[in-house]
Amino acid sequence: MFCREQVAQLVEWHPRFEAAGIRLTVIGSGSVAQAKAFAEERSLPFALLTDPSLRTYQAAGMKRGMLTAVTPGVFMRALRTAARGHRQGATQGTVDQQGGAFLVLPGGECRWMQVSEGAGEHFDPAEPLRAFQAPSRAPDEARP
Amino acid sequence: MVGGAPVATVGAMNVGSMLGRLTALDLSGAPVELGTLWAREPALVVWVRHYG
Repeated sequence: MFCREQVAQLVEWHPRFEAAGIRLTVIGSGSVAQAKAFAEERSLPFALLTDPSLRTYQAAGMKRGMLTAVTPGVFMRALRTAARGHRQGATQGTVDQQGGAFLVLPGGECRWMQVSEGAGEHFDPAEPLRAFQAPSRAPDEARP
Repeated sequence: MVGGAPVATVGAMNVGSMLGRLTALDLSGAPVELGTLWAREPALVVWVRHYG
């Protein structure tokens, strides 16, 4: 259900990312068939890729393990998510794999990143947008 | 998914070089190099847990 909620939130924010010139891509962990069904059911306006091998998750430093799936706050987050109308479906992917996000500029510089510590811990979509729109500081300005 | 090579974990600043050659699959099953996502424009890449 957390994934469904997060993707619904990204769908809502997609026009703002698009207006800022940011290309949004979501990567999941299920099979290609599962990803295709998920994307078609929701008419996603952005690209959905999938990585059943989890190698991109691992390389990106995303957390994994049952201790990350069942954190102290997960039950309260689940109740809040359910109250917002997002129900748990059949798990299609790796349940103990957490997510995160990178905002990457052409050339490969990372402007902003977030790594989820536990299930349902999503970033506020305003954060990467603010990070992108904030003026980057020249090295001299960073010195005391 | 770069051959069988071990995967290093990236820091915040070298995302392009460390993740750029890795691939995920598009909805037709074709591999997509992550570096193509931010080759021409800024990219927000979001890894989600699963599709449930």
